[in-house]
Amino acid sequence: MRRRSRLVRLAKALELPDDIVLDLPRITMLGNQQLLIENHRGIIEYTSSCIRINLNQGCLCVRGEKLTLGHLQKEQILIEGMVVELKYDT
Amino acid sequence: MTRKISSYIKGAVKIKIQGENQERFINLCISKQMQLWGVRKLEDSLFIWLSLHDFFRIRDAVRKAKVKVFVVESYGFPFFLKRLKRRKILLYGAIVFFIAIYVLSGYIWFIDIVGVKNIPKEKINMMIESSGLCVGVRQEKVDTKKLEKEILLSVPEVAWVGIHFTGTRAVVEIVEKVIAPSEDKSPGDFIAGKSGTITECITILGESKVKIGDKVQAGDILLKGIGKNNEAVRAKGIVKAHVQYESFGESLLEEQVYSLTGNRKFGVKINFCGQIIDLNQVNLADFIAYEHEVIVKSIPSWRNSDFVVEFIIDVYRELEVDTIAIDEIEAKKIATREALAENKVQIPLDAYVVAQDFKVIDTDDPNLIRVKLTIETEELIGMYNQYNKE
Repeated sequence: MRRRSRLVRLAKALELPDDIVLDLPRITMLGNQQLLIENHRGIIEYTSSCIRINLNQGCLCVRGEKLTLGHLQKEQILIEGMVVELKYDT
Repeated sequence: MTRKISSYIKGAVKIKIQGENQERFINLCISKQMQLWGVRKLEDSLFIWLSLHDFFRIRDAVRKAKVKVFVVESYGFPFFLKRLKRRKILLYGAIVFFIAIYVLSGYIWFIDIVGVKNIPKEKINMMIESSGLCVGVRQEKVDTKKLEKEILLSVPEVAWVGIHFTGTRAVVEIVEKVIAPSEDKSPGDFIAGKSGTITECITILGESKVKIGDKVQAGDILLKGIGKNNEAVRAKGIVKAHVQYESFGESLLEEQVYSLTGNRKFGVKINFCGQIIDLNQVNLADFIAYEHEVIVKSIPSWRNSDFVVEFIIDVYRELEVDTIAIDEIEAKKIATREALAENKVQIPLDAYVVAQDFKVIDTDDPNLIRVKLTIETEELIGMYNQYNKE
């Protein structure tokens, strides 16, 4: 915990992006049509109404309708469909 | 776009995954740096698109996740090749088609002759056909330079000829000679076309009958067509004279202007197979002046039927007459403009205006302004006459 707070201070002092220093996921949403998650740890569950994605900080639960995975790579996941809800389960 | 092209070249497969650990299968694939797209879940099955190269690497992941894999769809060039290998006749057909196109494009299939106006096209056609340029001949076999020379030599009316090929079309471009109209060299006198006073007289051929300052009438001989040895020649020279033109213009001091009052009356007639029946007669007694327009509305003819019905609508619009007084200066201007317009018709374009004079002429009518316009020009007055032996 102390190490983490030190890292945060260092990132602030050097004006470095937090997602790189703290290894955080970057989540980009395009309206409610597309959701791009970078720096993920894999898929836990996938159905057309719910997708759960494993992240460093826990689990991200995406709820919606007709959800598909437009693009899947080691670094990023692109979710397409109608996103209704986005929730962190820590 | 580039992703689509590369996936087409590499080939892509759509697979159906059935089993319990579908998510694990995805994670295992991702961990092996595979690229997946179009992942969709329908009921218990998971559909995934992946490249053909990655498809051969999923065996390990399938075993670990204990899922069943079915190929649903395939796309890309490798599959096209595979299909082509099975349908050899199609492949041979395509090859034969391209060879045929290549071979046939070396022949001449059309001949265009352009630029001919007076020379008959058939003549040129016959000539080029006999020289070997005809439909169905290979382009290499035609010696265009030789053919061009042949046409030039055998058709005297041709000034230039060019033969070139555009695809399977041979274009024979021909430029015809422009033969200048032959000059009339028959003996003749140079006579005055207009009456005037001579200002310049230069004799090139013949005998001069006038000198500067002479007054001549139209038809008078200016240069006689007689040579030094009394032989008949065609007289030639430059004779300029001052010529006067007169014209008149008139304008009234008051003008009548018609304007619409807005009152209208309509008369309707029907033309039924040539018989005109009056449906609404118009009484025009209360209109002092009117303008009349006829509108014909016919039913569109159907299948060449002779049954003709037309509605003829007469529109009468009432006009009001106003008399506007014009002042004297304005009236003079109008009259002068009229006179000038009349004069312009008579004066040739190459004439040089020397003097111009306006004169207001008294008339019996006090309401009328009349202007006389006199224009004096210097111009060439000579023209040719048939030779007179006297």
